[in-house]
Amino acid sequence: MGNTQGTATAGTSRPTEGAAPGATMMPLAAVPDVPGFRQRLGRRLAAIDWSRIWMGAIGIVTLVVLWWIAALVIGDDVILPSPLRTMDVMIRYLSKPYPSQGETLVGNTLISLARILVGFTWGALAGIFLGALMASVRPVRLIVDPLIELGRPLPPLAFIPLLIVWFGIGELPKIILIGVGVIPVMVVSVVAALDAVPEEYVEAALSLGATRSYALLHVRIRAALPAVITGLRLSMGLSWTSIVAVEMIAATGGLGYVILEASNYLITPLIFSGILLIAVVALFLDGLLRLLRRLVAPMG
Amino acid sequence: MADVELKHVSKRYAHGRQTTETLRDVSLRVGDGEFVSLVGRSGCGKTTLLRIVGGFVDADGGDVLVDGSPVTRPGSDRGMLFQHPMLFPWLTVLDNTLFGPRATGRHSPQARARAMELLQIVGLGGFEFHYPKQLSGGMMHRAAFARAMMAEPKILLMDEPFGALDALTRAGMQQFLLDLWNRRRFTVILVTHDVEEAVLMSDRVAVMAAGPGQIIETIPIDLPRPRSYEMSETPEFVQLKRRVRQSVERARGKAPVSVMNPTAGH
Repeated sequence: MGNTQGTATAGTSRPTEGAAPGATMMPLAAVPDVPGFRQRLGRRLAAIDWSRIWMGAIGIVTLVVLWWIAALVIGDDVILPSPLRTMDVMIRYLSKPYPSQGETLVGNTLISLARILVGFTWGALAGIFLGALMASVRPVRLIVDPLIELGRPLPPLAFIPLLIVWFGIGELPKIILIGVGVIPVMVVSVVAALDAVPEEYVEAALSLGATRSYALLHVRIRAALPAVITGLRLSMGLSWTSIVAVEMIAATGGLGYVILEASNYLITPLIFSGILLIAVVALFLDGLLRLLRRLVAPMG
Repeated sequence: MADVELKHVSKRYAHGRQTTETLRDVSLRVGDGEFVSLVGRSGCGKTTLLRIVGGFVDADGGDVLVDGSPVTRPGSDRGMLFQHPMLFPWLTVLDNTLFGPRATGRHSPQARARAMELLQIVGLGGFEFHYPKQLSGGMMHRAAFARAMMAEPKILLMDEPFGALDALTRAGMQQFLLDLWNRRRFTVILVTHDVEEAVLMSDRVAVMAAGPGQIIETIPIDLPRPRSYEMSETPEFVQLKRRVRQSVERARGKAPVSVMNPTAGH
């Protein structure tokens, strides 16, 4: 405890013009130092909006309760298994292969995750590179922009048959598909993010003695980062759409494949397990990106 | 030692096939340690003129000299303050202040101590580790001042720096700038459309007309220093204010674009 002084000015409160600056409270010689870890932790904890967490929990619990009631009313595991039955099946198949010559749920989750990470990474890098190029070189923008606009409304899933014809059913078409979906989203968000950086930020940096390249890296690109990370979050969601779809069509592993197999054999609890695992992993990855955004944009 | 000399400066902008003459034959000398305001209605090219001195825009003709050498690009000898403070939101107040030293490879414990001192001077002691979003509008402007002063500019260029503030905060900032200038006596070019602000702050007020932008009159403000806000009620002040305002009105008459006011013009 004892961090009340630290938390007093934390959060979103804006001191007014008349507010006494801290200088009047501390002697001039006492140079305040960087807030310590405990102080920062205290501020973080104080900044947590507990009501949001409570309300969120209420929503989830309500959903589970409704699911359970519906399962009891229907009374058929094939149509709607109860949450308990689903958890039971999930836990069993976490370590037991399904189908019997295939992978466990853990294994299939890792397969999907690996595809996502590789596809998302190359797509994001390519999209960021292309977007940055478009934002800084006008002819590139004029040439590429119509192509992006043409391609953007197309669902990545429309390319699956083509990619199978070209690259078979190995890993390559899946990774390409994810990237193809991610690129336009990243291009659009990177261009928008860089465009939105006020020119005056760069000018302020230059008049403080920064070189053009220093201002580009430490101001223009730095200022665009939070919006780029928001683009990454959208892309990550899209990556899941792509991978699950392609795994249902042309794969022998991965969560999409498990879900489709389970549906072929009417093992509904396993379908639910697959969906839940996707939700958990996707939430985890999104959480990492949100954390990253918090780090680059400390005040939101 | 830092004076600014503009000789026959002109600037055109092209929009497609049309060109607008933004500045025509503008000459102005701002002496070392002098405080000069550029006043005029929007579109008279006063911001363009300031940006030419800043090195952000190239003049098409004429000479722009700072300390006798031509301006080719922005530099830390000319500090720039905009209508919005333009603090970097991802940096704390202290790190914003230290941006200049870091960018120029001159970061040191001494620089840090000096930044702390500057923040004390601008009344932001205790807010060093706050982020810009946690500050009020006036505090952000003072942080921007500290950041600009950190580079030890010889000339301060200000583009309507208090235009977006509420009246009370603006008065506070004007007083703050007056006090700071009294202590340091750097050279200042202030762009404003607030006649009272121009008279209160300046040694001379240059009145600009639009279409094409030019300086039609330079009015010396021979009020005693140090100045303060109370002075704005003295007869001398009111008289000077009226003179500047009339000059601005006359400048307006010279503009050919006055559709709303057909009686304007000669």
